[in-house]
Amino acid sequence: MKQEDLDLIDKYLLGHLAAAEKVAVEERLAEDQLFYDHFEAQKLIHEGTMFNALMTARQKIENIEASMESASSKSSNSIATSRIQIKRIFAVAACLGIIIFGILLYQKSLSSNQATFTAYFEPYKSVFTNERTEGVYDGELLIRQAFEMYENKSYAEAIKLLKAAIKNDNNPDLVFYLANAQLANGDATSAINTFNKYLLLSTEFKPQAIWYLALAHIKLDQIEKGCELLNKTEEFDTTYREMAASLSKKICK
Amino acid sequence: MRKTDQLALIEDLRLGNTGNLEDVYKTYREEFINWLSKNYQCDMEEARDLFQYAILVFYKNAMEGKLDTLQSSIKTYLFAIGKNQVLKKAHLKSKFSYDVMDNLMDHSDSDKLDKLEYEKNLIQVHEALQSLGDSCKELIQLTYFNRLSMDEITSKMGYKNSDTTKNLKYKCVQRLKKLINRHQKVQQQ
Repeated sequence: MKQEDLDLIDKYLLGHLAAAEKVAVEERLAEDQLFYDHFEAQKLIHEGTMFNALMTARQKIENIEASMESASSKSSNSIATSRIQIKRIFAVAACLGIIIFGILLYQKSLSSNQATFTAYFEPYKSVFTNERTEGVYDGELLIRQAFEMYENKSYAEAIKLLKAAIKNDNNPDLVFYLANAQLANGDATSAINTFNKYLLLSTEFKPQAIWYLALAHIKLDQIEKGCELLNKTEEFDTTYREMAASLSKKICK
Repeated sequence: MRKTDQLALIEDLRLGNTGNLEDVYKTYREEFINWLSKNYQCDMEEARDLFQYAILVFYKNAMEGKLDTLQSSIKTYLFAIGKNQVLKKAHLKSKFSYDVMDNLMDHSDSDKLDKLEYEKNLIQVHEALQSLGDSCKELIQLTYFNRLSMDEITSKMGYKNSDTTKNLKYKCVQRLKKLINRHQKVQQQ
């Protein structure tokens, strides 16, 4: 495409042309197929740039949100600590009792949430079983090895290989499987980050990603968030809907 | 916030200084969430999602010049977006979409490719932009998202003159197109 044409299309798309110039562009679009193709490609670049900028902004506000939540949790912890110090002479024994009781309850709830997670979690099946044909990843030895490890349930190794593969090929599907491998390997926190990253990149496995996110939060004892995501899973007409409904009945208020 | 400060903030955002977005976020977040959850039976989590959505709409519209004649305050504007979305949700009897990007990118034009294909194409551009050099990426974003003039970009990026900027923009767009084609080929393999 010539530079003059690029400038003309840009001015049209940004609304910088006078009415008569706009009509001239529209007439040319109707008559000149090559110009039309350039126009469509350029329109995609405009919209893709906006998408990219909004994704970046979204990531930024999620980071702000995370830092605000962390600051608020630190501050409430500090208030709680000073209250305990004021009353410590009179309440050491009571506090110890409460703490021990709390820890026991927490451990009990953790083990029960862990059991729930184990009952419902099954890593998404590998692309090398019956989801995809082999040709898709031919020539990508690293990816092939990663999926072999994934299929053999050697998740730690699969994680290393998938991370290396993603460096060369930022395919959202790989990000989705990396998150699965992390969750299967017991690292729910990393899995949550990776599933969220996947949802920014693709919507192909969106219901699945939300379901796994729900399980990851439940594993971490974040029941409220887990229940919210289970409700979201139920909104999609997928095989996960029934499982989400059944799990939701068990653990959500 | 005074009206002049408000317009200065929007202009600053348009010039690519996104630090202001953080200030807006922190200033109105708590009040927005409390107001929405108290008045519209919205849970806190959903109110937070709606606030993030309102901030992104504000940002997008500021770039598109839709706020140049904003009569209300930024706070009123954000709260109105939240309220409208809650009412829309109640009307549709559905939950607010988990993926705010779905709502922000308009798929309704009849001449656009179908939604999935369109999203796939957007992601390809997004990925290609990540592979582009930083200065090219910034130049493209300032041109197409922030909608700055060649003179404004020249001054912001310290180029020699607007002709140089225009030539660089052309080269960057060509490079970006090559990267998009490469991504498409990899996906098709």
